[in-house]
Amino acid sequence: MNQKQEAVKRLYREIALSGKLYSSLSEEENIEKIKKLSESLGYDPEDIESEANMGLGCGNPLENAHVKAGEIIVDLGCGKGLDTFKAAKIVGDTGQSVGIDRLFEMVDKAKEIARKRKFHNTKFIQSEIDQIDLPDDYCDCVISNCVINLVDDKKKVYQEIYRILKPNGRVSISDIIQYHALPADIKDDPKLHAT
Amino acid sequence: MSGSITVEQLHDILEDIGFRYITIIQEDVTDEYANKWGHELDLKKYIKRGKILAVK
Repeated sequence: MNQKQEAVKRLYREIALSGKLYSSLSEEENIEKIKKLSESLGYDPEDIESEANMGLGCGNPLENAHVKAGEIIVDLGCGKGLDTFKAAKIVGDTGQSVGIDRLFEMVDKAKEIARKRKFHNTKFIQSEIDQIDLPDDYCDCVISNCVINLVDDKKKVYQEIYRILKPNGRVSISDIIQYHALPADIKDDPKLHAT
Repeated sequence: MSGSITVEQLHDILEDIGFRYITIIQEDVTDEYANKWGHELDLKKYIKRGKILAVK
């Protein structure tokens, strides 16, 4: 694994284990800051208060996903499952919401929350998102929140998304887009790659 | 974030793979996001957040 991908894993593992997005701030200050971040992205108070909310997204992918009851939704880079749980409420008992994350620590926390809150229609899988451990033509919709930009080979990720989608399946993804090239010294900094 | 690609590059990838009805809506990142992840850079000059929609 290259230096940039190591930096990505290290940062997100630290956040999963500490529960802190702002490492230098207290728990209360973190909660307040994450609330403001999530509000700015259009999340409602119930989501913001959720223990699955880590403030790591840059958008709100379910906003345009048009999820319906009975559908199968896959959330790539699910973290502790904020959007996975939100989708699970919409698809209901006849559907399924599947969270995928490369980090065991995230998947473990998401499974714990699912057990505690009795989300029987969720499943969490530890898997890289450029090699997804799901069959072909599996789901109706793929969502993702600010994760694909972290992966080196974006085309491989979108090929995998295409593979697991049913025919006429759809994507609703929030992600960072480059607008102007970042200065070279900044672009090569593993810390900037990871965030 | 610094590994992000342009909207044109992303559109080409989606099209090459076979996605249809591709829509990519660009918006400014929020102030809260820029402050959190900026590392003293004015992030809004360099990146946007995209809503990426497409159909298989």
